[in-house]
Amino acid sequence: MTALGINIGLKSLLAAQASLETIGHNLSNANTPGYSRQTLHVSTSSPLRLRGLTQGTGTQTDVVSRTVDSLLHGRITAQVASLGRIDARLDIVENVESFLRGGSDSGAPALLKKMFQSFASLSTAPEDSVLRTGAVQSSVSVASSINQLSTNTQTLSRNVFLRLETDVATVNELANTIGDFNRQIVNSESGTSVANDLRDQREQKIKELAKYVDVRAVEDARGAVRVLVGGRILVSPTTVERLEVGGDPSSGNVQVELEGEAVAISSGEIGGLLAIQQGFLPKLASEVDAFARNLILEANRVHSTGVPRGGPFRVLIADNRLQDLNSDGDVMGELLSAGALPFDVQSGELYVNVIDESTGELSKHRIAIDASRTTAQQLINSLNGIPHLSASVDAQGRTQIVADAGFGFDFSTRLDGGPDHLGSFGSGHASIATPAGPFALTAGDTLDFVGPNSSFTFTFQNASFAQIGAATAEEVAAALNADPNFQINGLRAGVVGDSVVVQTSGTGAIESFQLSGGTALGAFGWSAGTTVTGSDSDVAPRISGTYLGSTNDRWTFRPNMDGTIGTTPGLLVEVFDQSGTKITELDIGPGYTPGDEVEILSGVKVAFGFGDVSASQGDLFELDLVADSDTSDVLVALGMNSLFTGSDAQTIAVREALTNDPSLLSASLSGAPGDGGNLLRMLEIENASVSALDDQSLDEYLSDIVSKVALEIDSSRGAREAEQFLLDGLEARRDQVSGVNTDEELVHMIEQEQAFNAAAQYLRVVGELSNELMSIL
Amino acid sequence: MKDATTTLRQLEAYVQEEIGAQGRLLAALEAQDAALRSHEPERIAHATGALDAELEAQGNRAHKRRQLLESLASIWGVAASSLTLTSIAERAGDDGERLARQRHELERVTRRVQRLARRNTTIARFHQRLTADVLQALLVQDEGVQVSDGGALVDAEA
Repeated sequence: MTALGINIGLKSLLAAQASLETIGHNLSNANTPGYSRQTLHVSTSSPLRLRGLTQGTGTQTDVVSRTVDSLLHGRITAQVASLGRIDARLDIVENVESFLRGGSDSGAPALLKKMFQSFASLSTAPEDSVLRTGAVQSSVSVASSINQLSTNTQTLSRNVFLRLETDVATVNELANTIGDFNRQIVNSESGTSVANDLRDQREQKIKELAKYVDVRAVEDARGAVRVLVGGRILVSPTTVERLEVGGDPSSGNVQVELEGEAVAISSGEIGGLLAIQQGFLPKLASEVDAFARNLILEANRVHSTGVPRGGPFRVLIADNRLQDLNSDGDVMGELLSAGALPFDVQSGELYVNVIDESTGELSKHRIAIDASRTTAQQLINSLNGIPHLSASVDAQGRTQIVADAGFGFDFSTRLDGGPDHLGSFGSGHASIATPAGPFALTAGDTLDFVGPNSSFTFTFQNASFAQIGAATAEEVAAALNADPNFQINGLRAGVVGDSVVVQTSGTGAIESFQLSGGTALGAFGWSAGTTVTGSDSDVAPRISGTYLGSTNDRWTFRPNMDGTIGTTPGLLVEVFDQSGTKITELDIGPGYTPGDEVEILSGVKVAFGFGDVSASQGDLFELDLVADSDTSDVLVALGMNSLFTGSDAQTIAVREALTNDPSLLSASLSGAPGDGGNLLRMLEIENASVSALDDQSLDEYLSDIVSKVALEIDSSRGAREAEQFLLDGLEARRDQVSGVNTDEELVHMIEQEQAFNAAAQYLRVVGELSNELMSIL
Repeated sequence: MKDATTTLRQLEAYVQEEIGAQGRLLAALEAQDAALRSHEPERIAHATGALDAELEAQGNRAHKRRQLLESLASIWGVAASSLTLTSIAERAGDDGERLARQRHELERVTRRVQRLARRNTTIARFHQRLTADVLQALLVQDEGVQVSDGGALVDAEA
């Protein structure tokens, strides 16, 4: 055999060996993740021209190539990133669900229900100290569970931040590895050789990278890849950049940065974590805060206007402090609504009840609050203007209200049982009232009186009025009371609504005075020569029931004629609302038995005693109907008689004084034993819609937070399933294209072996026949 | 009995046919050579199949050749085994001139067939043994057992 022949045989053997090595390499990497099947490419080697003849030189191995589909690989990378994002989101959201739901009895929604259940139980036996302690304790549990929600959310946020840092460190490590592979591949691939295994490993690292970030890899002509994350180059053929986590985890303002600039990462685990950190967790925290804030607001609105077991307050100190926002050293000059307090103060009214402990007599006082004008000082002034109360602000900025000895106060909605405080409606006083003011007086106008002790003329002066042409009832009454002749003759002036009432201090039929003349008579609707006499009887209207109306109102009661209750035919009491509209008439003529209760409207009843009433002398009394004692929320803002302190999920707590002394729980509207009226109001807030919570109730809002998380989990699980299905499909296609099928490779080898064997057998016959043929040549 | 000239002409026709057949065999061997180098079992099997058709025809021709040589041996009164195409051409004198040229041509093409067949045999044997060794290493755990031993059929319903 010639040298050429030997060389051809050797080439063939080497090609066969390379083929088997390739098959062996495929087989041994059948289970290597990311391995791509390799194929040996063989071709005819270049022929030689010898002695004028062209002779073949056998076979040659060209290249071992990977079987890959770059497009498929790109899709798998994107899919891995998408799955990474969903996985991260699902993991966090499932975590949230676990602490949001808690156990079946220990989650915030369950504890909220328990709290209202304990209020309901207590409302049936308000004096039961065990139930009272239970109600306070259940409120503590709710507050604690909300604190825990807030703490857990913050902890989770910190954990997400830490996980982001870990993930970013992993990404940087992977980027370095990919950079190393780039260098190795470029160095290895000189000429026709291809660094198949390095490429496989690099692709595997890119796939791992995709688990964390949305990544795009572009290969250059030399075989190095550029790896782009969020459109920025992380790995170039020659350099590797570093990602860093920036921002503040507590604010949710977290970002991943490359060279100090934010990178828009929307996919992969980091994309999912960023979305959680920037969107889901702050939103959850904000919703939990909104729930806590509105629970505090709604519960305190009710509690602050209730009465504790011990009855009206003698001293009440606010929990929240007024702050000197403009730093002018004058806390009292701050507007109540200017934000110095944790809750807003609105324009509205505050009703204050002052109770004489010896008689039980209640007087109701209304303080108007203008959000744009009322300062802390004006509020204190108004409180100080209420008889038997004094108010102040201490050095810490806390408002304090103190009642005189023998008196108490509260802010309840209860009705004033004896509203004719002045005795201007059929009382024993000799009394005459004007129609509603203001009054068109002029300076020097006079009223002539004939009193029991002297006759005198009262002259109206400019100085007594802000505007004498529109004199108010208060100004007129104050001017009259300032006249010494009124004292001398046992007379006094008072105000009912906008009417001025002039009456004797004493009662009984012997009491009388006469309006003998004067230029001011016309302005007051009075006639000269009118004699006003007292009575031995007192109609003394008594109010009972509970006002069920939804808005505050003030009703005025006037008789339609002069007459005797229960006797005079056609005698009615007409009831007018705050706008002056007659809302009903009460028949107190012959069919009425004095002392009987008559239903007026909205759950309010009245009973009149025996006596005479007079329309001609302007008999009247007023009744405040209070649905909400504090439409301004000033009590909640100041933190007066609160159930909860704090203003958000982190700070909500039950007022310490209440936990120390559950009898301070304001269960009643009157302080009377057995009165659980305020608890019934408290129960209403569980299902009442709250405008700040998108018109959902507290219960609905909290359940909605939990439901939304559950829904998020459901949808994320569904999305995960779909994405995993897609990835599995893509991986299966990759396996078809690039994977090693061990059986296939072995079958291929067996077929090869058999084919070679068969060929050898035939060739042996060919050889024998050729030898035979040669023997006869 | 046929005369020598007639038989000689028949022999010339056979040799011409043999030259063509050896040419086809050579082409089939070249195709097989390429198939063996490709390591593709299907291509190798296909090339071997082409070889099979040629081998079958070659058997018929060998029978025909033996008959012609026996006829000439009988005419010339010599042993058939002593006759070769060279000796027949010499005996035939001028009549054997064409046969002599044909013999030369047949020898050339047959030698090429022989050479290529030997080379292909070596390659096929080597590949077969190498592959068998790899399969033995991959598939057989127990010593002394050969891949070719195969397994035993088990009647699963038994």
